[in-house]
Amino acid sequence: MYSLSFAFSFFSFLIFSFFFFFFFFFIFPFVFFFSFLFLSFPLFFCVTQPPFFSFLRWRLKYLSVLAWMGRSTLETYLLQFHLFLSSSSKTQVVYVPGYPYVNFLVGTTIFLYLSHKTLHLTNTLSDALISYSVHNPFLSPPPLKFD
Amino acid sequence: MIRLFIAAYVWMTGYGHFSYYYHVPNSQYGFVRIAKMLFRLNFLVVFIVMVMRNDYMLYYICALHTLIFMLTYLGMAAFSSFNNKGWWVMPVKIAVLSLLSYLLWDYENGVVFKTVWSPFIWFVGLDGSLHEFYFRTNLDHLIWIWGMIFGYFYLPMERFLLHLENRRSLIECVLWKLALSGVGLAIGYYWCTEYFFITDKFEYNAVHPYTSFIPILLFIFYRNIFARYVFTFFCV
Repeated sequence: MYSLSFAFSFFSFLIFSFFFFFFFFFIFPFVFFFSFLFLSFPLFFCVTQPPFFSFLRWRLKYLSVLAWMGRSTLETYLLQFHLFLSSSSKTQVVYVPGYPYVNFLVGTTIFLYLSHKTLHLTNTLSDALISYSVHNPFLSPPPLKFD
Repeated sequence: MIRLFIAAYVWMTGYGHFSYYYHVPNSQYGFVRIAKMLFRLNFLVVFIVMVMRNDYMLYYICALHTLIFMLTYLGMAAFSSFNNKGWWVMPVKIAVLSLLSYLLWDYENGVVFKTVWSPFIWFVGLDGSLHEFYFRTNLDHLIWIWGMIFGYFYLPMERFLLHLENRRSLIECVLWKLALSGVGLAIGYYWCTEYFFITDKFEYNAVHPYTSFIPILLFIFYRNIFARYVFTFFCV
């Protein structure tokens, strides 16, 4: 009796393990992959409209690198004579002697970094000194504390 | 080429401040905005001049942009309550500013400009004369007015471009654009042959203030009319 039930369970294990295998390796990935269809089936055709009206957006695109460079134009213009060039704009400052291209890269990097530093410094100082704030020390001092 | 880039910057100064005061609602005409602008333009240069013991006019860009900003501000702030009252207000203001710049820079070879600035020769002079300041500002003394004109016509131009692109067929749109760009190409060719490829530097300096608006406006035209076909691949 016991052996018979064991045989049944063994065969059923074989059969169900086959289904198990089939489900996990063929059905489940398929369902998972297309789950966005079943979960939001009515939304699928609404959200992915063809971009007929995207021409409204094309003219707003720009190169972010150039925009980043352009933010500190004034600083790069002013500091190029003092950080990037030397001997009244005839030669470049040498950081790495003997390797002109490496020197160019290093010098440009330092120059652009310091230009942006000065830009942020100017903006911070401008916000601190000139504003509508009530607590501006140059317009009206902060309230005194007695303790 | 460098002259053109600087002219483009001055164009942007006129255009930007005009747009701020004309299109932005509740724009500030107060002291804080002027002080912020002057601080942004002149803080670093004054610091450098003090540290390096140089002349202010060696970094003439700051003086140029400060002057152009002040002129644009004066033009927009004078009778500023009338700015959005009618279509005729801005053309009148722009005409008055053009007359002012003509008087300052073109009348009798800039005698008015030099007379006005002669008390400040210790600040804006170089080697005891105002020639550098006059020369640098004279090169860009009209392009900021073109920037103001462009700011005035910005919304109609945008509407026109959208009308051009909102066609039924792509072929019609592209044909219109090619026709317009052909006109632009003709103007650009005329400008290149007549004014740009002048070998003499002094001759070009003489015609630069009156012709620099052509390449700048052409660049803006081409950048916006073919943005659709270029920026989809190269830009963010």
